[in-house]
Amino acid sequence: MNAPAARGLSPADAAREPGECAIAFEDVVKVFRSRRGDIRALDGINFTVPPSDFVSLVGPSGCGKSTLLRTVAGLEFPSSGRVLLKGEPVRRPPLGLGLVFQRDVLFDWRTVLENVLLPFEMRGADASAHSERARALLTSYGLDGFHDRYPWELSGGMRQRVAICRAVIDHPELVLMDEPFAALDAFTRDDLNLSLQRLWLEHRATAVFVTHNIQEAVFLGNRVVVMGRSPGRIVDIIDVNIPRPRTLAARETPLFIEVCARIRRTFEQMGLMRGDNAGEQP
Amino acid sequence: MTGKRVATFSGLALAFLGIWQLVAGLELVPAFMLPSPLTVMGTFVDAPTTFLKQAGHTARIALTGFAISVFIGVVLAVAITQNRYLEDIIFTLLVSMSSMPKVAIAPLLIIWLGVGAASKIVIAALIGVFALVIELVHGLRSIDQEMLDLGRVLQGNRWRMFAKIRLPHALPSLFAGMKVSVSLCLIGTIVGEFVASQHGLGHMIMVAQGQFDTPSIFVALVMLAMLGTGFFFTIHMIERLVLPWHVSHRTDRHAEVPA
Repeated sequence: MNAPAARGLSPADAAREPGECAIAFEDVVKVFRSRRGDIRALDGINFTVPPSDFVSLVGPSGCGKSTLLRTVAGLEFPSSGRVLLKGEPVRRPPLGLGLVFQRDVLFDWRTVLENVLLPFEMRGADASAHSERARALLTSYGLDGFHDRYPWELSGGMRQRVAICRAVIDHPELVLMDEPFAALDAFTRDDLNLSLQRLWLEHRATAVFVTHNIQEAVFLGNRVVVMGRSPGRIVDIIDVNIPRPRTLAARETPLFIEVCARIRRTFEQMGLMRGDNAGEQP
Repeated sequence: MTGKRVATFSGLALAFLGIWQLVAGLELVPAFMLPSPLTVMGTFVDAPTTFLKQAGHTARIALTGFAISVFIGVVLAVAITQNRYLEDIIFTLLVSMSSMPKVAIAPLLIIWLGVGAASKIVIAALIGVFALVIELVHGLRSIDQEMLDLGRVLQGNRWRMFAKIRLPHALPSLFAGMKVSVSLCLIGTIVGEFVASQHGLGHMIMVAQGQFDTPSIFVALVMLAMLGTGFFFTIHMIERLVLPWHVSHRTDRHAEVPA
């Protein structure tokens, strides 16, 4: 039961109707045209994400994982193939989407609370009606007493917490995160991984989490999609059958170590990581 | 910090005035060339209302011209950043206009609009608008792509993208442009007053020149400097009130905040 199993285009995956999936990628290819020739950022991407799943996308920089995320957000479109949300092709940024970037992209001119209320204002809703809930969310996310501060008064980890609150305040069905913790130190990152897991267990939104950190991908994901580059493609899909809520100690279990090792070997085989540099993580 | 700066400034000013008084007192140069600071002060004290009235006149015109240049400048900058077509047309016009020395246009404007306030206001606005447009266009353009992406994902329409993201992001640039613009408007006003006028500090300087009344010229110059400095710092203070979040005003409060 606990052995990591490759899924790829497993029968279970292929049998699922596109409409049942929160996200479905069908032969997605993305080519960027540049003066020095075409760059194949994504090639033959096929996989599906069921509703309320948490999928990690892990891969080296330049493997197209951010581009893949942007096609789901409707900010980028495939050169060929389709990206489906609940069976419908993505043509514009979909409703009910929460987005978290590597840089927090907080607005300097708004207080923490005003930043969190931005989603309501942008779609023309009455933001003040939601301020109580926004305050409660901020407080539960360790930002008590900072509601009326400006972003520059916060540390990097706190800023990213605010960005996550902003992404989930409007109860999105789908949350996309593009290396949100990459710029943070290891302690803050661990802390935020735990908070994120707790938040996801409460809300159960469909989540796609992009990272280049193998441990983080395995810790957070129900499934880890491993990507390679030139061209950007899927090289492995692994189920992570570690029970939740996972503690930081879960990272020392044999199963966790085995999954990480398998991903690392995949990268080594592609020549993306040198095996002789013992103990080095990307 | 500020107290120290004021002290330094006062010290330098006093030293400068002292040396000036000394040089003038020794009569190394004739008094009609370089009056002493005390003479200059005496000239002002003899007829303070006359000088203040003229300064008020110049200030009113400069500020009216400034208000017009801010209004037109904002409209032009927004138009430029919203539409490629307008960008080409407006930018070409602005650049060709601003490369024309305003002193050369002033006589024409005086023929068209008369020797009253209107011609000076137009000259001031013409000089002031360019800097404002350049700064604000830069501010509106330099927005982060991720901010716009976020706005689109949050279903913002064109107006909300502008009002809630682009404009507030560009406000520091607007203020930077306004600081440059207000000084230029004062210069424009004086240029207009030099060419033809019946009031104002510029007019006063021209009359005093005809009478070799150097002390009055010095009084007018000091008042111009005070006006310019006053305008600049007024905008600076408004900026601090309106944009408390802006980078250049950040004091190091990080120390208080736990990581």
